[in-house]
Amino acid sequence: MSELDPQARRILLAARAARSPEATDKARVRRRLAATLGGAAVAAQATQAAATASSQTVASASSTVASTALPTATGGATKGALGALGNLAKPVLAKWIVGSTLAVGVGVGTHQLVLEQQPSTPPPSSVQPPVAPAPTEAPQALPPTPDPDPSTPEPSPSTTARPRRPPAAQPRPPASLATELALLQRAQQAWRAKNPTQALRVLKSHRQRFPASQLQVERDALRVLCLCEVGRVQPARRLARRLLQTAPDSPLRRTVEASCAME
Amino acid sequence: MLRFFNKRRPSQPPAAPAPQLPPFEEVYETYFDFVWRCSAHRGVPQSQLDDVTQEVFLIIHRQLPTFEGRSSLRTWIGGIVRRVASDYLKKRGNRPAGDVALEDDQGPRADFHDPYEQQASLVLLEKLVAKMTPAQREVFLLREIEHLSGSEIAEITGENENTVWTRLRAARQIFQDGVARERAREAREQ
Repeated sequence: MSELDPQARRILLAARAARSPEATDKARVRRRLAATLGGAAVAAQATQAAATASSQTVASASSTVASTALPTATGGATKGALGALGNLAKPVLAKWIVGSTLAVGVGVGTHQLVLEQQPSTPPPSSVQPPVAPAPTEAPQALPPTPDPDPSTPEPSPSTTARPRRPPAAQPRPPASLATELALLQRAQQAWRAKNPTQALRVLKSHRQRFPASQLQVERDALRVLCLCEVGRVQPARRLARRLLQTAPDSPLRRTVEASCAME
Repeated sequence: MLRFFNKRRPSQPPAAPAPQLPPFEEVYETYFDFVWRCSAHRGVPQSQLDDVTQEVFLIIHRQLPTFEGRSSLRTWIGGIVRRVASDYLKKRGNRPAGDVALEDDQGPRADFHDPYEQQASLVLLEKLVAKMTPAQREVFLLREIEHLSGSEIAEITGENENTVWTRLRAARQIFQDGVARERAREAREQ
């Protein structure tokens, strides 16, 4: 039996980790299941799991966003940490494009990005069970509790919305804004060229240079779309959730809501 | 704890004692990751995993009281995932991007904190398993990602165990060769 070498094994382990669901996934499906089954048994755990997942999400959201973890071409430390594997797999990352077709337009005159997303394929209402036994007695008595628990991790933007981040305290010189715009344009061009990995790199650079940017909403909206493109749905969801909380009235709201992050 | 006995073929006579069924909550807790990844490896898009996973657990919820223990709970659930995902893909009209996978968290668990490495590895995995036949891919992922035994894979796929090992050998060769090619290409580009 041919065996795999250690590097191949490491790739498999990392891929397994990437494929594994997060606590929020588990809690979300549990709530849906409880709503469908009308289940108290499931819902009881759902509440607990949701609370845990929610706190985990909050705790990890900033770090996740702060470390996009897409190394730049010369990302020395990150590249070194990745070792041979990171180098090995990087070329194919840029080719991995999932999700729906996107079209984007930029209003360069203002610093307002206008992103439009074609609606993606609607999710199936349900998959027909392949085996259809006669319904049996449910394992648990499940009184109807049509969810939604107010402590669920999906907050209502209308009730939990925080005011949009104010502009930087100090007046920003026009050159700075121009630089910001140029960076965002570069990111958007990369995204339109179907190179979301490059776009994410540029966005990361933007975030590092302008942590309190006036264009933070625009930057994050584009980042959500890029994360969707590379299949990083969970980080996209976290970022989208935070974005919609921070800027519920943004014209980009519909774009974000139409992305994979809100499916 | 959840494995009652593990027969290779479902056609074999059932054991006499009825298994003690775990409660649904325990099944959900234990096998959620398994079902999720299984569905993903069979090609269900990320955005649809909620629906497919929910559907699988609805079926488990409905059928758990009638589970006879002729197979392990894990292979039984694996079979359900296989059918639900296949039905979904047929309705969707898409070819699966990958194939099955199952889990019990018994395999080695590396501590991967770097999401880039995870994502890049997943991309590479998808690229290499796409070079396999669907049957090879299914066996490879069940074995190498989910660490199922040959007999468990045979039970889920309905194939002879010798066939499983033959496919696995071929699939491993494809994967290892692909890793070596990527490695060589990286070396050239640097």
